Amino acid sequence: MRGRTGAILFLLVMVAAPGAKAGAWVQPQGRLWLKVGSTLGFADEKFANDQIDESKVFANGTRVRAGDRIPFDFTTGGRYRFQSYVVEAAYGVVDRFEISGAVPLLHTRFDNDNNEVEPGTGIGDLRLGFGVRILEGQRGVLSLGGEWKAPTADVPRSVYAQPLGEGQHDFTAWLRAGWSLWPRGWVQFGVGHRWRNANDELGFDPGREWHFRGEAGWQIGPTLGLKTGIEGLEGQPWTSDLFGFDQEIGRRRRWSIAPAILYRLDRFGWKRMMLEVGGAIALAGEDLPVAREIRVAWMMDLGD
Amino acid sequence: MKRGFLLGWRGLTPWSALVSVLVLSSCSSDNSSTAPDDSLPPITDSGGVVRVVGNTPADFPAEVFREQYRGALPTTGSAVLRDRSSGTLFTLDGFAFSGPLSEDGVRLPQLSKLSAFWFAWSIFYPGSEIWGRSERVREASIVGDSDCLVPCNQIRRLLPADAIPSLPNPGPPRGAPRMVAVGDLALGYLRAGDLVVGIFDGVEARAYPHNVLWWHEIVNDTVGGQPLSISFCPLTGSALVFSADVSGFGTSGSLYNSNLVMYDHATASLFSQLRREAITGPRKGESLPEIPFVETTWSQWVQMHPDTKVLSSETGFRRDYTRYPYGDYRVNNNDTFSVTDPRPDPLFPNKWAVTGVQVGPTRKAYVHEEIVRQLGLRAVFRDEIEGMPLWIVFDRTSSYLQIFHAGDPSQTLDLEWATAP
Repeated sequence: MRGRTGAILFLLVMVAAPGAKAGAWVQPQGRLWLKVGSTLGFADEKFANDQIDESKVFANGTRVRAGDRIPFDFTTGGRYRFQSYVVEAAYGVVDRFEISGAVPLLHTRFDNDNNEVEPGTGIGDLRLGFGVRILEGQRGVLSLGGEWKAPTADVPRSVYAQPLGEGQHDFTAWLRAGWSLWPRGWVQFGVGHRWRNANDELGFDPGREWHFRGEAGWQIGPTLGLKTGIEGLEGQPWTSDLFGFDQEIGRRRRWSIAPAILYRLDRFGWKRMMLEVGGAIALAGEDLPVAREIRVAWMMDLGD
Repeated sequence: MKRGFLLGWRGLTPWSALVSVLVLSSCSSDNSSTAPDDSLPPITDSGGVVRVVGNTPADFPAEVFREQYRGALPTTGSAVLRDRSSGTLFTLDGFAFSGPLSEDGVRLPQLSKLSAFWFAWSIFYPGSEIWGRSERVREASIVGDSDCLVPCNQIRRLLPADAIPSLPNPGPPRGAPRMVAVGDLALGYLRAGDLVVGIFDGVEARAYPHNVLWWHEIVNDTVGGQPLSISFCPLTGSALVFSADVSGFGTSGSLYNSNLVMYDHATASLFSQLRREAITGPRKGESLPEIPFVETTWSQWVQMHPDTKVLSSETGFRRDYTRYPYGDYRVNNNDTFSVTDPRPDPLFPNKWAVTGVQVGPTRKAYVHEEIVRQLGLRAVFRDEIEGMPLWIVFDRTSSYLQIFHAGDPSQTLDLEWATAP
């Protein structure tokens, strides 16, 4: 047997989702954009997957279908917690071309009545990317780019230890469009397609994924802004060949709403800095936690 | 006792191995030598090495089933069997322990059998005969594909492999589960009416409570130098004991027709518990060599074997072994955990207990409640499958149903329930 698939791989879908930067506006030449963000996530329920679409156990006889909310771990009262700290950067190499990267520092833990899963703490899978502004009008912009997620994080074989990474290379292509309502607001939309390599070490193929993000923001004062995002993930079924044949594990999908407050720090003398405080609430999905997240981020621009 | 019939368990096929006999060969205080892999320690106890042998009735002359009873005597007043004609008393394992036949060491051979919820039996054994009924289980066919003996896409994965940890767990070392004697404080979780899977080889008795098996599903034990796996699927209510290799079996996290799918640590082949064979992998098609066992209440088992060893709550895991983890699943009428094909036969309520057996090509289901309806709460009766005479011994109160081969020399017996002196 080549190994055992880690028990909890949920966090990585969220943290590693393309579009974390989510900007259609590619950095101009010489500008460095930095973001340090932290996410605190909780889940004690999950969206049922289609493998148990006729399960009658979880709710004492109530039929459970794919997408229904069920206890995270109905036998031992499991609760999922995670914290992530992600440093992201994007730099405009030339006027229409930027390079980007992200380094996540993670702390994940899965608690249940038995507390037998070792928490994971450390650096997650690193990401490198690029973006190209391909169309630009007076208000609108269209850009495309790509991202490579490298399997740099520790992936324990035991189901009793939290992984920090997934253990395979992923490549994402994205297309983003933005429309500025300067000076008051903006809207943007992004779609990404992620090719996920088969993970030979752990014996599974995570399938491809589509990622979506729509965002609208509005400046309600000289320093205060509001934005709301819709984040979506639609995955193909995972398959495992751990036991010598292609076994479908489940299809992962989730849609969340992510409101946030933006606060410019100019009045404190910190020019071109911004604080973002928000959250994300999972609305629908399959085979993923019903996560509630608190997000805090600090962003700044350097250079021209 | 004859010793000329020791066979490798691997050579047994499940339904041809109609009779498996456990005999003691020697005793030793050191069974560490039987565990070549230190990472997978055997279940610890005070020692004792039991050798297991088996064969088919055709190959196994009746006189071989003469074996002096060397276990502890059943508790006074406990249930036993009596031969009306000779007055001989038999344990519920089939050993003559008192009376004329005990001097000859007569033993009633147990047939390998399966216990399960009705719905599960009807899914896995379509077309079975049903004792006391003219109907048969609804016919159905299951056609596999190139990689699996069953449709691969019906092997449904719900959890990662080993997420339900077998004992001893092959993951991070957690120590070996401990077998203890009756009265040990580590048995505080066990109540009189709780069910156990019991193994008795003529000398040593071991019990594996359902309470622990609900949470772990597979116990890999080493008995007399022979590795055994004791498996139980809470969703189909099915128990199966079989010989294994030293690396043992684990839970795959998958279900096939709601039933436990195990994998062997050595080759990662998947085994369907209720089919009793490998359905994928290098061992595909290989049958599990079954070991006869008794499934009954803890109070009944401890009366049968007051010196029994029992799997304690000290398993290396922190679980509430007093709590059934699946709500009211075992008593409600919900049929399945996941989609099954074929669908269950609605002839009886889904969770009714069934003990099933196969002789040659014929499979037969003994539905406990049907026996109660026709014969009462306790019964000893004869039956015959494919010309093989059988004794069926049933007690609903203790959830006990045993099937004995009634061929020579026991065919002249006239069994009834009795109490131990």
